[in-house]
Amino acid sequence: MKHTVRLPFWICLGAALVLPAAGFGLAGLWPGVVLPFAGLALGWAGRRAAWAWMPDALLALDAGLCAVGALLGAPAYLMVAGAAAGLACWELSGQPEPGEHPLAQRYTQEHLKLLALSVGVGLLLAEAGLLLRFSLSFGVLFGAALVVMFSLYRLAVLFRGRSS
Amino acid sequence: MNTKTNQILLVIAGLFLAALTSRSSTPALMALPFLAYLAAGVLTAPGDPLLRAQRSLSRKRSEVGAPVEQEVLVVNEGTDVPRLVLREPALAKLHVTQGDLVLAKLRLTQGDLVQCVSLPAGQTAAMRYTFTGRRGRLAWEEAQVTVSDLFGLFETQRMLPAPAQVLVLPEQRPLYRLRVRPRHTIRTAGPNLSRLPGAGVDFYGVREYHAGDSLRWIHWKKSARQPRTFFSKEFEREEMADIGLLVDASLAANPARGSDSLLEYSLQAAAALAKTILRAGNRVSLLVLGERIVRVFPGSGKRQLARILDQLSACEPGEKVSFETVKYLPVRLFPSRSMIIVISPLRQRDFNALTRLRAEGYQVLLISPDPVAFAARADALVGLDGQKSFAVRAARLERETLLRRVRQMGVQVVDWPVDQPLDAMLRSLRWAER
Repeated sequence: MKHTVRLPFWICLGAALVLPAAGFGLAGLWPGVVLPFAGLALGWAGRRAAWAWMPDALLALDAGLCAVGALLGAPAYLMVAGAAAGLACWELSGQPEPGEHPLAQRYTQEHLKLLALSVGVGLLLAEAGLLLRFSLSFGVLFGAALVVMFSLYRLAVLFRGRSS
Repeated sequence: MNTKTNQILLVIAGLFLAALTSRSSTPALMALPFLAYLAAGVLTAPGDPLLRAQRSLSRKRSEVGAPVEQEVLVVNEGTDVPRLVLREPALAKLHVTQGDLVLAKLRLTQGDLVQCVSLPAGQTAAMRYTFTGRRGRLAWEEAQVTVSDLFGLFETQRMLPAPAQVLVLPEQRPLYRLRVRPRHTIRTAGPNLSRLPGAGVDFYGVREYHAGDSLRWIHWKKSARQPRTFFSKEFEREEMADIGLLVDASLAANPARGSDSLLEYSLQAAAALAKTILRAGNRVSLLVLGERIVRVFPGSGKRQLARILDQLSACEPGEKVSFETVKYLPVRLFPSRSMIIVISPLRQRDFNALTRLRAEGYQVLLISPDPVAFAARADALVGLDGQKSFAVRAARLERETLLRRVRQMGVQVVDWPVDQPLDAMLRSLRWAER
């Protein structure tokens, strides 16, 4: 079976547009319903003008929009799912269609599997975290954020060293 | 770490910042899919790859416009590589500058120059593409591979040695109407009438019969009139001639218009002439005056043709040496009494060089690509205004006067507008009877 990235891309794009729009709609924040589709128009314009930075900018905008929506009262489960769909869409937008070569087909297959697994697991953990509400003091949260940021920094240094 | 990784880290940092400032856990939970994505990239990042590349071409010598297939193979001699991107970096170097225009030396006709695959241990990834090239030498030294995790977040770039080269020869169109009549020949069997008696098919004269002459050669009519004597027919010996090709590759004499250059036509003419004359059985030598002096000594046969075509392929226009330099070169650069075919657009200052060649006794044929028609053709596409039209007429008159002076010296001239095939223009050649 020949694997393609076009269908998963369109599915993720649809989810990244519909889920935040639905969340904004349910919260009665009607300007927010239009914003994801404005992002779609921006993305189309960027593709026509060959702006290489546009997909990255749209990812940041999508994550920011979902975060703001959640903070303004939109259903958090929809916003988290929208952000995850945006991430998958961004990853798939940079993938070319695989050729006939079996190794290229194998790469596409493995890539789609891992993307689905990683984003799916992350989404499940996030949705579970939304359900299991517990309070954290500001200090604990701040410390956790510092640990995460430091870990990410160390990872970056580690892989910069491996790359060179 | 690349921009993709930076982008993900930025989004994660932004979400955590939003969580901290809003004192809400939702943005922090939103970062979990991004963290999982990053963690998947870290976990699938490959170790130090052990790769070997090999490049092969369908042919080592090609002609302008002829397709050449190239195959690049990358063999994985280490552990599994989740994502391998194979691309051709050398194409960025394969450009030639012509004035302000940078022209690609090769044009892709089939295939892709970037391939993304998953390469298990022991397997081979292949990239195949077909291209056509401009005249010259196309060389590749390395193949660029980028090894990374499946998402391309943590990359390692390697340049694997994979040398190959192809020589693109100038086009060699057949010249059916070329007839060279060299006045002097060398004492080797060839295709040219030598005005000497010997082995041949053209009747030359009659002489007395010598012992050993074939009975088929006896001139019976004359022998019948002389009862005690026999006479034999003599035939004109056919010998090889020395013909030199002199190509003017100076920048000033060879204007360029966009991707087209008059020099390319000169080199095509030289290649076609060399092929036709060598195939007829003559000796050919070459002298190119451009960026440097290029010399091919007289020779015959297929090897000589290959030597000449190799030099014509590598010829670059320049200003260091021009056609007028001929008047300072040692005259014996060409064999004495040989025929010289000069291929030059010809400028006023080049007249003295031609005079010197004639003074030294060379038989000279001038094939002159018309620079006025070449430049006017390009301007005609955008429309000639009155001033330009007057300039073209003045340049044409100047050129006609120069060519008339050259003809008066005893030089055969072929004034060649390059939009016409050279073979058609050779009909105008009229050789003087001996």
